[in-house]
Order: sequence, then C-alpha cells, then structure tokens
Amino acid sequence: MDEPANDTFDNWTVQVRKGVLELCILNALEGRERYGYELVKTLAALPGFGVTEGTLYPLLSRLRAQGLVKTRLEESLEGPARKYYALTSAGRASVVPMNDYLADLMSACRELRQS
Amino acid sequence: MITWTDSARATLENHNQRVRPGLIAGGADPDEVAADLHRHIEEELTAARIHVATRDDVQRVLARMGSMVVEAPLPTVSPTSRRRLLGLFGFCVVAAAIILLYLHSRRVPSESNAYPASWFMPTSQDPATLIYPIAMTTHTPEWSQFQSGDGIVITSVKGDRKGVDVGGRYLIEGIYTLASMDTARLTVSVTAKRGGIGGISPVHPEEGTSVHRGTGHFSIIATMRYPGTFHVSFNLPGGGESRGSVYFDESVAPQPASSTPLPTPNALFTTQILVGVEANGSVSVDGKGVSAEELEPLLAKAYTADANTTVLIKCDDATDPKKLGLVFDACRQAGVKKFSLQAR
Repeated sequence: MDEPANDTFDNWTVQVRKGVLELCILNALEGRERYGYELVKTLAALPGFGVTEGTLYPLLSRLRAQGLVKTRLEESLEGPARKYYALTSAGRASVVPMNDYLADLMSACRELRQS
Repeated sequence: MITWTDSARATLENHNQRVRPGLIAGGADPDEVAADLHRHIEEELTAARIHVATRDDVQRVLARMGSMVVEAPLPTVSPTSRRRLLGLFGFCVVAAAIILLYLHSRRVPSESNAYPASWFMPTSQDPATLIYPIAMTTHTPEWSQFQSGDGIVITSVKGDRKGVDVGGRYLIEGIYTLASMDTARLTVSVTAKRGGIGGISPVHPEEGTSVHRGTGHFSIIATMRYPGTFHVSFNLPGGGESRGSVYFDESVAPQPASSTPLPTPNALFTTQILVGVEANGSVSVDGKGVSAEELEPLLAKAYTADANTTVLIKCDDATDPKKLGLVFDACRQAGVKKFSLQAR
C-alpha cells in the first residue's frame, strides 16, 4: 500500500478496534471469571488488536461503573491479591445482541463484496 | 510480598496523578485504576522474582504497559431521543433566560424564596468607604467547633454605614491560627434569617482567602446580601466542607462601636472574664496583669467553678497576632467554650 492508503487503513483499524474492544472483554468473561492480570495479558496478546495493557484497566473500570462487569478480590499465595472480573446479569444480557450485531455487520460486508 | 522503595511509590503516584484527569474524562474510576496498576506491577515483579520494587522497576513496567488513555464513552442516545433532548434543551434555555431577566430586574431583595441575582454579583473591593467601626462579639456553636489547634478571632469590622444592613459592605479583619492542615480557605458567609430559606449561605469566591499553617492576619470585604449574620470559617482548600466557624452575635452586630457595654467588674469570675491583650503583648485579667503561664490555670479555675463562664478578649489593632493566638489557645485549653473578642 502507498502512504495515503496506509494512513487510511491505520485510522480505520483504530476505529474498528475501539468499537470491538469492549465486546472482546465481555466475550472473554462470558464463559468464566478471570483475574485482572490474566485478563489483561490475554487481551493484550490478541493478534491484530495492538492494544496496550495500560488501556485495559481504565476500560475495565468503566465497564464496572456501567454495571456490565463485577469484581471481587481474593488473596493469592503467589503474589498480590487477585481481582477477579465476571459478567453481571446486565453484561450477560448485552453480550449476546452485541455479538449478533457484529456478526450481521460482517455478513453484510461479505455479501457486498461477493456480489 | 513486594517491598516498595519511597522513590518507587513516588514514581507510581506521579504517574497516577498525571493520568487522573484523562481517566475521569474517560469514565473510569482513577482510584480503582491506580489500585489495579499497583497490583499489576506487583504481579510483574513477582513473576520476575523481584522482591523490592525500585523506581527503575516501576518505570520499566509502566513503559511496557503503554499509555493509559481511555476514550470517553459515546453517548447512547437514539435519534428520536436526541430530537427530544434538543427540544428540551431549547425549552430550558428559553426558560433560564426568562428567569435571569426577571431576577436581574429585581434589585431589592424581596420576601420570596428565590435569591435575587444581585446577591451573587461580585462586590467592590475598594476599602476607602469602609470607615464606620462596627462593634460585635462572636461565638462558636457546638456544631461548628474548630479542629484541634485551629481558631479564628475577629479583631475589627468596618462598614460603609453605621450598622449591619442588607446591601452594606464590611471590611472584616482578624487573626487565624491554622494547625490541623497545611492550607485552608478562610471564607466569610452570611447565615440567612429569611423565612423559608434560613441556613442557606452562598459563599462568594472573592469573599475568601487562602491561608496556610500558622498564625496570621486576614482581611476580607463582604457584602450583607440578605438579612442575616456573618460567619467566618475555615473550609477545605477545594471548597465545601467547613472546618470550624465563628459566628457574629446578631444582638450586638447592628450597634455602633461606642455603644457596646463592657462587662462590669462584678460580672468577672462569675459568668464573664475580661482578658486584655495590649499592643506590647502584656496580658491582663480584669485589669490585673498576669503572665502567659498564669492565664490558662486562672481561666480553668473560673471555668471549673462555673461551666457557663464566658471570656471577652479585648485587644488592640496593633496586638501581635501570635500573642492573641496564645490567649485564644489558653481559653480553649482551659475548657472555655464561649469566648468573644473586641478590638479597640
């Protein structure tokens, strides 16, 4: 890609990542609770996201403030107390339509391309 | 268990302070994020088998974690709701404009429950017209006691008129002793006496000053914007919560200085004690000179005999504030709850 196209692509990916990152967190917590350090490391390692660990703690705090996730502290023998994150009922209720909506978008995009 | 060096703690604290505004703007709880970050660093160091966190360790982990910027949450408003909100906003703007025009047109406070807009206007700070001495005494109610070591004494009140009236401007001077915190706002407010809104006392930014730990003079020009009495308070630096106040006694406040009766000798050591503090620092009780060491036991003895004992401190404009502060402390340490000050 030439330089202007690169810029456009970079800007677009930033916007897409922003929109999907919250959903990724909710998806990561859908099956089970995770403790913060593990969750942050997992999300930061997602291929293509390029998200930094520093971005995730504020996002988790905001999701908690919005009532989509809840937390609890548990003492750990291996290090500092662990803060576990889990979905609230509101979080569980949100994650399904969010995934459905994203799937519909992706499907529509692909259909346009094939036609 | 990780041990943090002072410089490591300071590095993390500096970082937290720097990102705090951005976190708040992004809808995150900065204290929660700070705790998360602390835990994250400890996890990293534990994994690396490091037991003492140094400044370099903290800087290294912070650099690896990257920026703590979080985008502000987007408003979740549907197009229909947005149209409704815009309509409501337009209505509020028009309503607010009408109310402001109405209040602005009323220059004299009325007996309605709304504050006239003029009460919230800044006052002139020109002291040239504040020439009439106003006699007053003060008290500190039980519910507004000072923190340990703190105190405010009023040494002089001068007005642009001979009494305390609505619309009058007053130069309030005094001495403060601040020991409980490094910095405080010292403010003058009015406790309203009007029916239905008693107790509401807006503080105007220009009617306060920042003071620091120690003893010093202050002078504030305040306007009596509605019927009530002044009080002078220590407030937390950010405003809001009071940390002790002196209230002007309304029965004395409107009187000219020369008409204030002094306590009679018979009243001394029964219900009221007169303590004089001269410009040269000498202290007297009922006209009899006493040393600084003698004062507190003397007051304590009187207070033990009569728990209703009050103390009237008379001082001079040129009295050393530190000396006055010592007398103030002696009163408090002696257990005297009601003491007032009169400046000559």
